[in-house]
Parts: sequence; C-alpha cells; structure tokens
Amino acid sequence: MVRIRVAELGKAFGGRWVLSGVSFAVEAGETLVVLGPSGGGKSTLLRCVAGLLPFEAGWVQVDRRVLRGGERVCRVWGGELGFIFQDFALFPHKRAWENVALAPRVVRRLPAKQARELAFSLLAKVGMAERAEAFPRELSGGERQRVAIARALAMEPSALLGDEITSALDPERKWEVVETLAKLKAEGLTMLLVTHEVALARRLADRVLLLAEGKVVEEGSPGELLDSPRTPELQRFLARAWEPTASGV
Amino acid sequence: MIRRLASILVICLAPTAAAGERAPLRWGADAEGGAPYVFFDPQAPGGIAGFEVDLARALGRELGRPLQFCQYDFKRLMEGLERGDIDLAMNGLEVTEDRARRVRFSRPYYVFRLQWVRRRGDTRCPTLAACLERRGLVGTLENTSASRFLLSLGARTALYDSQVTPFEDLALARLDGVLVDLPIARTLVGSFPQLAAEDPPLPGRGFYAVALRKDDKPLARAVDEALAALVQKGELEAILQRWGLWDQGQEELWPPGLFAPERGRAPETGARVAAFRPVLSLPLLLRAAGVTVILAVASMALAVVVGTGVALGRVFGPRWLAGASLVYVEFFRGVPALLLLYLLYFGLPAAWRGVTGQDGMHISPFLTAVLGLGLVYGAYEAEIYRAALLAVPASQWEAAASLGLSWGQTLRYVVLPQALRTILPPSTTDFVALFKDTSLAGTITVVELAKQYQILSTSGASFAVLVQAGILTALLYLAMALPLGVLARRWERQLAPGG
Repeated sequence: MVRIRVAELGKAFGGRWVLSGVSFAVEAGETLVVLGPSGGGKSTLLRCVAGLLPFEAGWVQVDRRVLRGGERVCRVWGGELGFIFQDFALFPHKRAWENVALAPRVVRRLPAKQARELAFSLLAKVGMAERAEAFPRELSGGERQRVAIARALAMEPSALLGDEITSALDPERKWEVVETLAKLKAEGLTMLLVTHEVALARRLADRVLLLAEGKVVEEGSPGELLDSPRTPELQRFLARAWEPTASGV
Repeated sequence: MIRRLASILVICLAPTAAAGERAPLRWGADAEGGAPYVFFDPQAPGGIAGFEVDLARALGRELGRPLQFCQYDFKRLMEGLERGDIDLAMNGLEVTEDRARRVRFSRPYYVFRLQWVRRRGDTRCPTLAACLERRGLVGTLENTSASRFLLSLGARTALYDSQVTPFEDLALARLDGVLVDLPIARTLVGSFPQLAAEDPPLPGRGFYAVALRKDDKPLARAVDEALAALVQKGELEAILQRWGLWDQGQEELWPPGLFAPERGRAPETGARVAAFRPVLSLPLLLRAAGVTVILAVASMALAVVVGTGVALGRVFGPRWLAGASLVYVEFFRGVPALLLLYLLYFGLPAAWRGVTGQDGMHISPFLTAVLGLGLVYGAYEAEIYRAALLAVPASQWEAAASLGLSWGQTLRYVVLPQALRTILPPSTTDFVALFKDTSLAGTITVVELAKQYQILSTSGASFAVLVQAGILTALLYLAMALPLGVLARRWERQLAPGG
C-alpha cells in the first residue's frame, strides 16, 4: 500500500526550475532515502512533500489526500507527516516533554494529563525518558534530535520525513540517532529521509533514490545502487562522498 | 507651550513711551498671559496693548523715564527681577506674603476679586459653593490666588498656564466651573456665549502691584509717588474705565495714606485674601506620584496592545495592512509626544464639533494623555515586537506547521513566548522612558508628579525648600523606576530557556 506518492513534481525559484518531473512512491512500512549532492534539490523536495513549500507542477498524495501544484500549502497535512529538521528546531522555551506534548494538547486537544503521558511514552521510545524535564539547551545534539523524533511522532503521522537529520551531529551522536530510527523502522514506521550521508542510507534504506540537479537520476535497492552505480552522476557522488569504514557509521 | 517658547527669548521691545532724557526702565511682563493685562496686538503702537500698557505709558511720563517692555515668562518674573534682567514687573502680580518676601511691592494699582464663571443653564454647579459640595472640577490658572484659594478649600482643581484654555474646557464641559481674577473673567467671557460670569464676585479681594527689587528703594519710592499722582489726577481711573475694569472696589485705592510710600513695604491689607501659605507637602507629591504610576501603566497597556497589532500587521499582514502599519510607525515615531497631546486635547473636541455640529465630547485630560502617550509608545513597541518576531527562526514556524498547529496556535505557543524574551529588555527601557514622559501630561492639566513639583516650585517657597522638594520628587521617580528594572531582569531570567 502506497503511503506517499509524488508525481511529476516541479518547483521553480524565480523562474529557474530546481525540481522537475520528480516522481516516486513510498510504501507503508518502507524507508526511502533520497541521496544526492548538496544543492541537488533534496531539501526543497522534502519541504514540498511536507507542505512547507508551495510547488508549481505535479502533485503529492498522502493516504487519500492530494496536494496539487499551485495550491496553497498552508498546513495541508495537519500533522499527517512528521518532520525532523537538520537543526532540530525544538521549541527552546519548552521542556523536552512539553515539546512533545504541545501538538497533542493544542491540535488533538488531548487532556493535559493524557498529552503528558503520551509525551513520556514517546520519549521512552527514543530513550529519552530520563531527560524529559530538560530544556533543549541542556541536551546534547543527539539527545535533541531524539526528542525531535519523539515530537514528530506525537501526532501519530502516516510517515516521518527527515531532512539531513544527522548532518549537525558528530559521529557518535549520528549513531545514536540512526539506531533510534532503526528501532522505529523495525516497528513498521514509514520514512522518507534525505541525506548526503551514504552510511545512513546503507543502515536504514529499503530503497535509495539519487537526486541530482533537480531530477531523479537512479532508483533501486541500496545494495545494487551503492555497490554498482550505473550512472556517471551516482559514480561521481559516491566517489566524493566520505564513507566511514565498517568500524563506525 | 507658547509661553515657554517665548520665555526662551527675553525680548525687550521698543520703548512704549516717548523717549525721555533718562535711560528707559526695563518693564517685565508676559504678553502671552493675555488680555486685558498685556497682550500682543499688531494694530497697537509698539505691537502690544492692555490696561497695563496704558498704565506703563502713564507711569513713564510721571517718572520721567519711559518703560521699555520686556517679554518675560510670567512664572519667572520674580527671578527676572532678582537676576537684574528687568527693573520692575507689572503683570497682574498679586501681592502675596511669599512674593513680598522676595521682592518689594509698590502701592497697588488695582483691587481684584475672584469671579466664578459657569456654563449657562448648568444646574449642577451654579455657584462655587455648589460646585465644592458636589465635588465638581474647577479650572483656574496655576500659581494665582484663585488656585491657592481652591487648594485651601480642598476643591478638585485643574490648573492651566494659559488663560483661554480653562474657558474653552468649561465650554466643552470638561470643567464644571472656572475661578479666575475678575479682569480675566470679564474680558474672556465675551468670547464664549455659552458661559456666564454675572454673579457678584466672591467676597474678599487682593491687589495688583508693581514688583521691584528688594534693594531698589529709590525706584520703589518713585513708582509709589508716580502711582499716587496717577490716582490723584484720575488717570488710573480713566485707564481702568477704558478697559471696563473700573468698579466701586477700586475706590479703596484712593486714600493715598493707606499705602503711604514711606512705609516702604508690602501693604498688610494685601495679605488678607491672597496670603495662602506655600503648600509643599509630601502627601501632595505622593498623590501626584500615584497619578504618574497609573498614567504610565495605562499608557503602556495601550502601547502594548497597539504595538502588538501594528507589529503583527507589519510582519504578517497583507500588503495594504503592512503599509498602513509602516505609516503608523513613521507618523507616531516622528511626531513629538507633546504636540500630539495638544492635538488630541484641542483637536478631538474640535473634530467632534466639526462632524456632529455640537459641543460636549467628554474626554478627560487624563484619558487624552493615556491616548496620546499610548499611541506614541505603541509605535516604539511595534518596532521592538517586529524585530523580535523576525528574530524567531523560520524553522520554528515550520516545525509548528508540520505538527499541524494553526497560525494562531503557532504564534501563541511557539513564537510569542520566544519573542517575549527579546522584547523585554528594550520594552522595559521604553517603559521607563514613558514613565518620565508622563510629565508631558502636565501641559494638559493632568497633575502628575512633575507638574505637582512645578506648581510647588512656583508657589514662592524658599530656595532650600524647593531643592529639598526637588530631590524628593527625583527620589520618587527613582523609587518607581528602579523596581521596574529589577522586575524586568527577573522576568528575563524566568523566560530564559532552562531558567
């Protein structure tokens, strides 16, 4: 069953097309990783899918709802798609559990006690139950990103979208976040992640898609794509990508 | 304000009398004080007119020295004498005990009474007694025997420094009555058909006299002799008749023996009505401080509401609203608050009259001050809020949007709490500035702390007492402003993440 379908999506900034004819689908329970060089349009694509950026052409479907090019994107999905940001984007004035509980409380209108319980259980899921009372600035980068994951899950989304979620972290912290997502994936979570880190794709992806210069260049399983790249774009990307050895991620 | 501007320049105009052989005497008076004393009149010779101008001419002839008119702020006339800027002051100066301690008074040239002015057909305050009983608001000129008289009666009083304004305010029903010296009432009531000053003047009377330097005995003697001569020749009566100021009461000036020049001191009789002791009490200052606090808090509340609306309109509004917000900010930031207060105070009732064709827009001076200060500081607040809103990273909006929060929810739960931290320090500074700017309200008769001190400072108290009161007033301001700083720092700590 398809969770997210993107068809012929096109996005222009000031008359210049940064995405054109992008099509793909994410199945329920699947993790699709979009790889590509910086400036290739990955983050723009993810924001268009998430309804954070309007786009000009094509359409995006999440479950039964469709967002078409040219439409206003103002909060179209209403929490259907959880989003994790490169810079975490936690609410700095709220404690970890309050960050998670906010949307259930004010959007889903859960009673305060129930929202709090939900927040604590989600924090437990990402291994952050003990730091629930901490403010974001008291947490390490990895801890913040795990809180952000819990927050993104708070609205019980159909899928989780991640934008370069490990880029701001040092290697050990990357591991911590990737393993958290691996655990959620094992529980059946659907994910669409964009990254330029090949190691993350290897660890989490069911399928990989290479986006370069605003177009889908190659698509396939991580094994076949990353080990035997067919297109010159992917070969160039992999040759430049820094990939740690087997000793770490 | 005009009087203040005028006081900056002490302009000595051309001699008002034909040049004699000897050097002219510098005569200090405030032409802004108005008719019938001394007022600017382009038609008149020398550009000024008034019964005191005529009197000055006559005196100049008697003295053999012309009197040269020097424009001088009424409130500073005593200082002007002491400083030597002027040789004599003649400007409806009442002989009072406290003034007599600073300067030497001549024999009086006019016996004045206090006149009650009311609105025609007003049944609430037909007399001063009725008005006092019903706690009506009485307008008068500051630092006059009328103001001190009202103060001693404990009346609710609005103090003005221009003599036309209380009449305008009475006509607009901002006041329930006006108590002023008879000459002013007689002269001005003619311009306001809805006002009446027909009742007999209040019992008791005071004297206008020429003020001279304490040590200037020869001139004092000469002026007294000249005045006595004018009385005897009937010239003084003729002048007063000409200005419609002559009445039976003036006959008291006649027996020259009563004010014999050789007595050389202030006439004791002058103290009967006009000798009110300078009131320099802490309770008065404290009450004014209370007014200042309420005024500042109310104005700030309005400024916060206005500022929030304008900032939101500017940052999130459609183009026309953003444009309107920008115009608002530029206008109210650019216009002096003092000017705006005047505009609102005089302009609103005038606009009301223009639109509805009738009088009676009741907006109290206090509310006018709140409105004026609130609008001006709203512009400052708007700029602070705008900067703070823009300082919240875009990813905060995106995070909230991805969670399904509405625009309003995002603002309320995510953006404003963060913006508040950026807002508080500059906003507190603004509040302290507003606090001090409340003193501008004094110009539209709100007796706040600075105005109260100003009133006290012109009441003729001694220098030492004035300095003490000044320090006390400054301390009161500090006592109110300092806790604000402490409070702001505490809020900042509380709102800081993890704090």
